[in-house]
Amino acid sequence: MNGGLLIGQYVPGNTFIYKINPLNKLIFCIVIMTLILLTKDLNTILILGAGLITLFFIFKLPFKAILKGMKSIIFFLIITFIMHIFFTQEGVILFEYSFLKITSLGLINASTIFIRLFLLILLNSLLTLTTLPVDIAWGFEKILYPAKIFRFPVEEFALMLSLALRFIPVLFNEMNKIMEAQKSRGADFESGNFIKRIMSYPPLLIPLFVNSFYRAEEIAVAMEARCYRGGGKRTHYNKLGFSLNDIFFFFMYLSILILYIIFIKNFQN
Amino acid sequence: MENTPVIEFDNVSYTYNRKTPFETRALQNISFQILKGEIVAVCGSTGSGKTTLIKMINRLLVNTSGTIKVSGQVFDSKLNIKELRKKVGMIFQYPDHQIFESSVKKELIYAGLKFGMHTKHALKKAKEACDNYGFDFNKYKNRNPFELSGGEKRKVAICSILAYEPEILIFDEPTAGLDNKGLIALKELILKLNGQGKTIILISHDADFIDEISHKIIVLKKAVTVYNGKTESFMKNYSKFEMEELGLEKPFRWIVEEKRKLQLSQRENL
Repeated sequence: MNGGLLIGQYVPGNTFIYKINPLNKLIFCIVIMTLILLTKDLNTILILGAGLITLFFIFKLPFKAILKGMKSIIFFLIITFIMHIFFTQEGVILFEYSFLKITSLGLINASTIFIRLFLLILLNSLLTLTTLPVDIAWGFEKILYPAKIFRFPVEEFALMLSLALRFIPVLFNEMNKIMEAQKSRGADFESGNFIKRIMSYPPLLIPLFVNSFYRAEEIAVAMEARCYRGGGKRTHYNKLGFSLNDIFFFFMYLSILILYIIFIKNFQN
Repeated sequence: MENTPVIEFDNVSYTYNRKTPFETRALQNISFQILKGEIVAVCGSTGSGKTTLIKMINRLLVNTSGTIKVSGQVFDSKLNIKELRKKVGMIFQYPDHQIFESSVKKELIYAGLKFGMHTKHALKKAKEACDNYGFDFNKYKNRNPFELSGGEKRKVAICSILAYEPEILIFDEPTAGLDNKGLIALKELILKLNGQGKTIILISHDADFIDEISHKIIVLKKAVTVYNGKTESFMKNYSKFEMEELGLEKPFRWIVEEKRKLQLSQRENL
């Protein structure tokens, strides 16, 4: 893990955020995500970002380790940044070489997109770091409950989600083991040009897929052996309730939302 | 057995997930030497640091402190890492983690080609490795390795490592899931390879197996070495309960020996 945390990984803890009901946390994430996606102005996004990063420190979450874990994703963010710089041609030209042009608007747009995506990943980390995959699935089940009217299979969806979330670290672990087995047989995943690196991946991906299919089959058999049937009304071993902390948390993000609307209105005026 | 050390650990430590909430110290100031031609068993209960230790030998994990020498050389650059991995062959517990080719033949020559052998030479070495282990190369060469049974897959995995002729062989839990016939074949293979001058390191919880084939034993407990010496004196001097604490069962022949001694002393007292 190179000293970083995997995205989607749960870190056990006992701070305020851990005591919040997963449903409440999910609604908070949806609200903040909507604000991040709706905001087009760079300054407002920066304010939202500063607020989100402050929350990491207030809740005593390992911010540095999360940033280290984002190394692999930063590569895709940089590609998006570069594409937006060169595809936006409006605004004052800051740099020009042959057909390549960097404009002021292009730079602002690229920065906005970069920060927006970065914040979305950070927001996702805030949820997954502090909530067990099973609880996230429970939260989704509750959120999607009204969709039952349209015969949407909510319970099956929640089960699928919880299985998928549960197996992310297992698959990463498995990938590490396969990588070690192939590295010790002379495979090199780190050096060479882009094509050489892509071509070095089948020894990694084939065992990973084969083992995943085996595992999926084993899970299906184990579930059937315990008489699992889809579509049934299920009860939960741990019942998650709402506490005073939840009310406080709810009013906190409600006030963020109100402040945001007031801020945007004034800013537009 | 020669007196030349092939593996030297000097005050080696390793910490997983450094500077994260998951930080775990897996090994702490480990020092030992393994001589050329020795069969060394690495033992300890689950989580004692055995797998971490063997992974550091061929630099799948890089030690956080201390020095590791293989054949008198410190391999610490990207340039010589392939040379190191050619010297140290590692046989993992689960063959499913390494098998990926469409035929057994391709699977067996994969590592040889990666280490710079020509196809013909790699094939020749693969056949030799299969003969060494009693695995019928001609019968299996065109078969899809994914269609083989668990035991056959394990044989393919072992032969694919033997095929590039590493000087040092590391077996991670080689006896797990083997039936008696498989166990005998494995024992014969290890002794044969050792007879050919190979240094062998194995992780195992099977005390009878270790007692029968290893010259030396390194026992780990909670990231530190608790015993490093001859297998025989370990088996002789450690009681059944002490060994159980370390994740091992006392070998049958030593239990018999203990009982015999006890009976003798009782008779003398009478």
